Amino acid sequence: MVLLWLLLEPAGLRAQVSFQIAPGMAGQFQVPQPPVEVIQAATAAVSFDPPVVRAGETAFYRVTIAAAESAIQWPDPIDAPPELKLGAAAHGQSAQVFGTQYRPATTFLQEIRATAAGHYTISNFTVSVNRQQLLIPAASLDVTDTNAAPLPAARRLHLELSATNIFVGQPVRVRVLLPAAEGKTVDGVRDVQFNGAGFMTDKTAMRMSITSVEVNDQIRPGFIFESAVTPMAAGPLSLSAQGFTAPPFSVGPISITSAGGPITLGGAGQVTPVFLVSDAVALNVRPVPLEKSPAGFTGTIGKFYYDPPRLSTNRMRVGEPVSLKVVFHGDGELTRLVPPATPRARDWQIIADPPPAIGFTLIPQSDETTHTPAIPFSYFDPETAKFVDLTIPPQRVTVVGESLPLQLAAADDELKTAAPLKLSSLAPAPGKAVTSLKPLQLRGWFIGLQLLPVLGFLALWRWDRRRRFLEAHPDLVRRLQARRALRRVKRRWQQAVVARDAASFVRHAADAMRIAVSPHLPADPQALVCADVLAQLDEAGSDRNRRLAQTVRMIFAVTDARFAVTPQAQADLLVLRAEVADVLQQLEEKL
Amino acid sequence: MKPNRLILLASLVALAGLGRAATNDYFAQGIRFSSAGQFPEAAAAFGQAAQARPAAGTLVNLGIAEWQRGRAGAAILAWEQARWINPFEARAQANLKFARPVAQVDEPPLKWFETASTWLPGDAWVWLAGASLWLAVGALVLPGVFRRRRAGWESSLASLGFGIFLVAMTANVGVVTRADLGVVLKKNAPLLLTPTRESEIVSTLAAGESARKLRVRGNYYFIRTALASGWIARDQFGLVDAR
Amino acid sequence: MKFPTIIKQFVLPLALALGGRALAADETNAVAPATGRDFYNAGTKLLAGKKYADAEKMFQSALAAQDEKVQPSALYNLGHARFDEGAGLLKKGPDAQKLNAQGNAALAAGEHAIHESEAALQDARIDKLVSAYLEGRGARHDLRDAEKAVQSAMETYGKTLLEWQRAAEDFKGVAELHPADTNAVWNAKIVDRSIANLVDSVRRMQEMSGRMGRQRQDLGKLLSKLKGQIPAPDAPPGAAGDEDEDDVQPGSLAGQKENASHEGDQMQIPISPEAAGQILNGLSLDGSRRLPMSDKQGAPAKEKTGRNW
Repeated sequence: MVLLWLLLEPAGLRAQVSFQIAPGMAGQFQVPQPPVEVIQAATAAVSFDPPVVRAGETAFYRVTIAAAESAIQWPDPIDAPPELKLGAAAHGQSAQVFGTQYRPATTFLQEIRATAAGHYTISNFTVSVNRQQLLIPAASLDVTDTNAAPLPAARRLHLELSATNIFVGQPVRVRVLLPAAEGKTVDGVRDVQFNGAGFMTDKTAMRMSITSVEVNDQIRPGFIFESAVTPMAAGPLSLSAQGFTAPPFSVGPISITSAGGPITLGGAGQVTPVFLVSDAVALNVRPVPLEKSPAGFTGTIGKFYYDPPRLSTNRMRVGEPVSLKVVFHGDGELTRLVPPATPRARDWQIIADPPPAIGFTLIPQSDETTHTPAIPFSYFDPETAKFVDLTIPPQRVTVVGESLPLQLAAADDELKTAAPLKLSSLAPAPGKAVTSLKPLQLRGWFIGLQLLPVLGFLALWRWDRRRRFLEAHPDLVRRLQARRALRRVKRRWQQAVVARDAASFVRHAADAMRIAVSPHLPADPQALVCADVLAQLDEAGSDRNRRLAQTVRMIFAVTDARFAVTPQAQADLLVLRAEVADVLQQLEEKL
Repeated sequence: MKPNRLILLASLVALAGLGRAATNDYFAQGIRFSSAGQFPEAAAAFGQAAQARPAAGTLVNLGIAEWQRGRAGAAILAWEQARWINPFEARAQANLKFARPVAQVDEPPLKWFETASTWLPGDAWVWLAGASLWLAVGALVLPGVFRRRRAGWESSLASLGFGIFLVAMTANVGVVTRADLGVVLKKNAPLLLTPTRESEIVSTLAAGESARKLRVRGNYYFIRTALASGWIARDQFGLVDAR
Repeated sequence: MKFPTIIKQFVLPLALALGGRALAADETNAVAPATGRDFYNAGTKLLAGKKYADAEKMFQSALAAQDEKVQPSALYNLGHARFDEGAGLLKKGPDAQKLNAQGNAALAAGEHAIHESEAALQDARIDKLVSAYLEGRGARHDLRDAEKAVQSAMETYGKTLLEWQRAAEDFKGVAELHPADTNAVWNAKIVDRSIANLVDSVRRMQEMSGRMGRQRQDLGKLLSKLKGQIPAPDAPPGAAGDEDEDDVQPGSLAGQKENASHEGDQMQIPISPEAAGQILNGLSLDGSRRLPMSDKQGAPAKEKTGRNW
């Protein structure tokens, strides 16, 4: 609670904004105020308002003593018959100017509710006024039965609040209405005071007007006093208003609007002020969840926004002050806006403008800075019960440092001999460029690149080693060559099978067999004959081998027959392709 | 080559061209700002150009703009970087010779192999080392591989290659150690006893003072200047190789 | 390079290192420390022996060795040494309560003397003028003495503040190097709070010193007037050469702020003047009572000082 009070303390301070005094008014202030008349023998007037009520209705027991409030020792509570239930009590002091003197008058008002019909008297009693005893005369109240005809009620103020479910620190607008009595002129209300613990009244937000108001479904002219109050404590609170009737134009500047019907104003003559009170209005005041408050929350509650911040210039030298102005707007009372706290920034000296202006004087301390510092600010929106960030964003600036010399005096012998006397001109072109300033030696990809020559030399070494190995083993080379040639001829043989080209089929089959057996002899494949192939088949080994040998003979018979006078028919040999494939497979396995 | 690959290659070339065009735009912008006396803006433009594509001329101009706006440290760093790219950049050399006495700072003390490394651009040394090594290795190995008798010129070539390789390697070490050189950027930059914010201050350094980075811890470099060593905040010290 | 810079950057560190080595050799009766670890161990022994100034030098040498393993511990113990050194200075300095009483008494006497002098000047009786003059001189003398005492105390407080500010920074540095070191964080808070209390005391003393200075000035003017009205034969002895008094200007610590800082994120501990006085009095208490420097009372950083390589 203390923390909350501390937090909201500035809000209270802000309420006391000094207003401008017009030159004419300033003169008035120099006129001495009239002296207060100290009445030696105070008098008292007592009445019930209204004097007759129905049982259960409210009346006011009003005692007016012609003395200052501080001089009176009022008994609390007063003695009253048990049938009269005492309600809320109020008191206030008014002063009237008689000639050159103020005459104070204090009114004590006690709300009374009669529980049963009858004639009740509050007997006389004495109070101490200026250390002298003053007799308060007796007063009577007539209470009729509840079924009796309605009687005119006592005049009272009507209190209206813009919201009753609010947060601590949230300003609410209050209206105090005094409708004109039936067939009477409009009275003003002066010395308006709000009663209720835990509230702070904003006197700067005070406005008075006379307009048509609706009371009990009737449009009547009435006096309106408007102000704003701010709850300073959480919990269920109640607020009531009190004030004295006065001629409308004696209370201050008033605006008059008429929504319908003529408005008749009371005269400006001498009128006895009547002390009036309003019913209490209950409010539910919730605490602001400060534990969730973001940076820059200064206790401002309401709904606000601001125009783009204006910087006096965005180009400055180090140490040159610039002003940052921010104009805030809001749904609520702007006087309740607590400006952002002055932040601390390394490169800036920041001075808040004196209130009520919201702005800062910024002084750059270094030419390193490129932006003004962000000024944290947030407010609490009572409608959504959430904090809203309204930080003033950084503004881009250019800060120019102290300039350095561009050339040296020619008289400086030491420097003249060692160094050029002035800075060079600008380079006309970017010149030699690199992809990065990081040296190649430290770049990963470059180290990787060095592996390429290593790999090249490694491959070369392996190739040489293999070459030497093959030179030492020529049979391996022959087999390799035979395998390679065999694969090639087999491919052609298969193509012949697909093409049903019997001549090619036979020729390639024979060639393949010769190639497959050539490394075993070793010999040139073209020099080999059927017997050489059969020698590799192990004809006596199995029936399958005998059959395959037969196929070889048939193939070679056909190829040898090219030298014959009448070549054999070859078309039927295509049926031997499975056997030929078997032969080739067997021969290949031996390679 | 397939059409897709051609499109990809063309796109890459176009992108590279765009990047270079943007760099040139920044460079031209910087020249315009400098001519108009708007040196902070010129420095920003040259800085962007140098960031996109570090070039000796850009860095020379960046240094001039920084100098004219009163930042001796940043200016000296930019000229050192220009010289890092091209040791024969005359403007950078002249400006460094002019600026150091004005800023009352000394040149960084270089070891002999570091001095040797400044004779050529840093990248040239590494290519030279690679080429000379593989040339020497090739001259030694290839005749054997191709079953030829090694000729006298091949042996000479191998010897020359190895000789160049040794010199280049030394210079490469110099390049690598020179990469740890840097320049103090801010005026009166505190040299700290410990790498902490609240540390005791060993000494204060002038903007533009050269130092050698020895270690890194958190947000601080441990550096050694000509006369003192200590920790310095990273944002107050710029390395020549801009790491 | 300028000569003072050379001294600052080269000669002083060298002297510090050499001095540190000599000290360590002397203290440990062993080989002069060479490594950061050696300096740390030597400093820890000196700290245990309550030789804070020497321990401080040792720990600084240990830090200067830039051994990452030793540095946090050396910085932690350096904070201890500096805080203890500052507390020692306070203990040796003038008693705050006595000083306060002396100042108040001098101010009261001065006030009375001013009244008397004004009354005597109005009355214009020789005997009253002489009596008021003599009283005024005495009061002025008391004020000067009290001012000197306050000045001396403020000097002591200033030295202590410097030590403590460095100590706070050391502990914060440890917390930065080893965020898990809660002892360092705790100690930094304690030192910050002590600094806040001390600054409160310094401010109060400045205020008192200012009041005394003003009063002494007023009294001086009145004494001149009194002397002018006393005929020479009735003038009290010593009145002739009484015009001047060496004015001690207060405020050598003007501008001293609570824990003047680097970044502006330091802790601010609001403390009432009463509480500040209470704690300040606590600082200059008996020598047997130690300020709580860690969560374990009376055993500051046991594990730290106990570590030995």
